[in-house]
Amino acid sequence: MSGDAEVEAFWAGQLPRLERIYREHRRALERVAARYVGAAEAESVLQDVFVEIIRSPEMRRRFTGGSLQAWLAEITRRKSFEHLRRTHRPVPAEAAPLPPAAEEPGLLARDIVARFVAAHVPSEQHRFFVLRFLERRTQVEVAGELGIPRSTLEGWEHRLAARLRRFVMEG
Amino acid sequence: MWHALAHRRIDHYFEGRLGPASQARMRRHLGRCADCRARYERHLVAEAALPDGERRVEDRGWQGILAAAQVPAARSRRALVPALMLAGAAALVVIVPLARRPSEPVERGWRGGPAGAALGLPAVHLFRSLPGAKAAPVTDRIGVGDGWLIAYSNPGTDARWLMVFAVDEACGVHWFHPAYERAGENPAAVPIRTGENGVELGEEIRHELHPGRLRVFGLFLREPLKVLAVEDAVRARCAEAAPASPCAPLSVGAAAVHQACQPLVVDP
Repeated sequence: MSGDAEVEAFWAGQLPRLERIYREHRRALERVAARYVGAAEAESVLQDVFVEIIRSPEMRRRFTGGSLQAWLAEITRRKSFEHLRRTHRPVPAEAAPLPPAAEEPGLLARDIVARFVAAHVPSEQHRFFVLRFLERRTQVEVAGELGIPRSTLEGWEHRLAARLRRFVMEG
Repeated sequence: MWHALAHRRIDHYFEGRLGPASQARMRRHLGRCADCRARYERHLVAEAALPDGERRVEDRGWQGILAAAQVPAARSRRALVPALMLAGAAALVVIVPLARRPSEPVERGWRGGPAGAALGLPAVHLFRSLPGAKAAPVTDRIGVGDGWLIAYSNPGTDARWLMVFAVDEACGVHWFHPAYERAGENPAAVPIRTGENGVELGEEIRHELHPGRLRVFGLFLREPLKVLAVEDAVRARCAEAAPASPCAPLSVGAAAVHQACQPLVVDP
């Protein structure tokens, strides 16, 4: 699809186009929102942003070209302020410097995973865990590299994921 | 208890088991509860640690956006509960014990539900909305303009479906669950969880009631009856020459595991 066609699809509010935009920019926009409202509520702010984009043709029409991410980031910033007002929390001044970035869940996760692997992963599953959970290789790739049937790895992954979730939740 | 319920809702959200109305309530609550934000963030970290975590976050986020964007179109007569009313209300009843006892066919004169639940029986819990995002248990009176908030307890495993409705003095039936909003439809009972107490049922509901007496029924069912069949049973009861007590069980066949009934007065 050409650039013009992309913008037309956006203005028209075509859901497949909006979904692609959401998936493409989610992480960057959540980082913006998390600076103002924290990681737990960044998802709520992003929901507000995209619900309004879906519902409001006028809002979509306000994007007239240039960087879509910059445009979305500005909307996210304003929606973060609205969220703070709605929850009776102080709103930073317009000209205030951006608050420091909160630690991202992904970075925290890597640290936790490193602790988890040392204490809770059986030695015969170590290599699998590193390839799949840290290097994020696909199951098919890992099965090929380790010479272990994918069905076996599926079971390992299921049990390790449940154990890892408990490890994180129970601190 | 409050936090236990809010935490459970957050857990359910990450397990993909929370409906749009409850998600909205959860999000509103996050803004006021640091403890809940901390739990939510732990879930985010746990999810980020999983191989398919990113995809799950994205899928859930987009589905949540679609659901939130479509909420007003899908709900006409029902207003969303402002901020956690039902969560607070349900917290009042979640303290009842989970002990399971043999179910009895009829529970008469339930008072807001906890009494029945305390006996290990299925129960419906009624609350009315108050200003300032609060709720109060309904004992024997409710105002014509009050919003209704409903939760249930189903400590056993036999009942898998529920219907909640009110019958007025003129034998008019007012449906809470399932929603029955258009003539020509015949919706079925709503599925319910087993082995759980204090489970909220959707959002605030408002009905155009008239002052007078009202009976609120909760039918806990092993199979999903439909509203027209239940309305037939109500009409048959009203047509009886010498009606039994207003809260006597309705004749709905073997589908009923348990029937609860609460008489109320609707104040002008």
